[in-house]
Amino acid sequence: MISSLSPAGHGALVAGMLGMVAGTSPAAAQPTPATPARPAATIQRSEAEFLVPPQGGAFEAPIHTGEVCILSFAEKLSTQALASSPDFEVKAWGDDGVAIRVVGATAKTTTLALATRSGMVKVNMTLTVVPPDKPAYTLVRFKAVSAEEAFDAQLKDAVAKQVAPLEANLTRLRQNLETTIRDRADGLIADRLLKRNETIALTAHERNDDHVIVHVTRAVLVGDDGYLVFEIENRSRSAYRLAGVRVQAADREVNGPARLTSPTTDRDPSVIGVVPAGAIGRGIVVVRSVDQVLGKPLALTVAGPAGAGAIRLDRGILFR
Amino acid sequence: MMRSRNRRPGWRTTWLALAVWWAAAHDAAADRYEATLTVQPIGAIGRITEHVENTASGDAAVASVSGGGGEVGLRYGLRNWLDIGGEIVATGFTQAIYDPATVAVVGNPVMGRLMRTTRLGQLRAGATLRLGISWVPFLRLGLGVGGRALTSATLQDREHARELDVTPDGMNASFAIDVVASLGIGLEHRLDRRWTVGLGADATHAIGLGTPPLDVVSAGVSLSYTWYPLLW
Repeated sequence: MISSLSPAGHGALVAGMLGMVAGTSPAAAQPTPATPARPAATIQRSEAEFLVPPQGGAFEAPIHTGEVCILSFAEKLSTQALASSPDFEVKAWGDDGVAIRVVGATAKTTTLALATRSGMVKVNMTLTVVPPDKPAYTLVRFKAVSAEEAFDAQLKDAVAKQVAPLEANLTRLRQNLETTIRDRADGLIADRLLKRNETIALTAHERNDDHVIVHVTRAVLVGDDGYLVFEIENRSRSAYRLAGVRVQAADREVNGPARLTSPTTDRDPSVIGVVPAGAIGRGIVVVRSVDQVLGKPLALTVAGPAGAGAIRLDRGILFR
Repeated sequence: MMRSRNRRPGWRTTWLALAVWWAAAHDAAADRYEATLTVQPIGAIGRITEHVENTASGDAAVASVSGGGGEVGLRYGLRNWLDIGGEIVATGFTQAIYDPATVAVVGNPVMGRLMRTTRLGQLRAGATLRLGISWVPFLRLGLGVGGRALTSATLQDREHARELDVTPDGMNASFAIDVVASLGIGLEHRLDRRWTVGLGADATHAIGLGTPPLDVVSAGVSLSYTWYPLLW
């Protein structure tokens, strides 16, 4: 049975409400599905909204000793209410809500059965006393929803619960990803260097008609792969956009990825790098499985988009 | 009347300014690592001195003659603005005439018209300063050795009621060695990655070892083929 609040009790309730308002986040209450309430993320979050399906629902809410928790409904409440513990004071708060306060020093948990007059909202509320350092609610709203909405909310909550640890793990992995990749790359390079580390000086040069010159200066053997180090000397009056580097042994392509140090970038993702007019760009191209081409003459071709400005060096490039 | 101190810059200043502008505008760069083979037919004017006395002036006899020949040069780019290399030059001149000239014939001084032909071969090495990329003004300095082939001189005298057609004493056909210094300027245009055409002019001073000096000014159109040699 819900009893009316006495003036003293009302004053205490108002004081409690003021305290609740002071500790309440100005943000709107987060929708909470028709499942037992989860602890708030922070202690300032003291509101919750529960979605109640037509068949009713059971919810949990943590509360603090000495604070008042308001259970608010969208319509008038039935005067019948059942509380399982005498350690909780339950009073009417208007005609569409109840105010609950812990009165027993040893109070721990109570359940409270409530229903609206129309019968659209029926809830069984479990109130659990939690220490002051744990989050608790001072205002709980109940909202009648359809079964589909309630199911949807429940599903979202279940998914959120499932995804939360995954997201946390993913965030941690992302934070460590760079370090992990760097460590693995360094380890791979170290392994390859231990296996083989040789440098061969090369003096291959060629140019195109536009005064763009390629100098292949070094070949490097690292592990199973080789690298050709080259320079692109752009003596033309326009930028040279490098889009492809190809290494051939006879007619077989043996190149891997290529890189170019470039002070400028290009919007075209197919462009490896740009060498401004009058500048020199330094590049490198990987030759995979270099043992298969040891001692064989190689041809290096650099070209711009659609093969523009191609330069082919077919003499003086040899892994020995 | 006092001359104004604010004189207009002379043509030397103007040319110097143009050269500096050209160098700045064209990055002063040429062809590092490239080898260039050049062929250049030339026209030449030679100023040939003979150890004979010009009867009219009393000085040594000097004659200007025209000629032609060719150059074949090979250069290598040490830097984008500096080539080193050399060229072989062969030039033949028309017959030089010294008239009147006094020479000795069988020990007796004889005055008449002296004629002699000179042919040159030179091997020069030097450096070329190149000031461009597509259009390339250049300045070339060279030193070398040369060989001078002289035909037998012929003395004619048909003005003293006699027909004289003899070779003076000490003026038989001979070969002389020269030390050569040359200065060249020109302009080249690179047609593509391999071919270049150009215009060039050289001034050469040859100091003969035991023979009179020889000055030659030559000019011609050149055609060059350029490639990247594999040096090692």
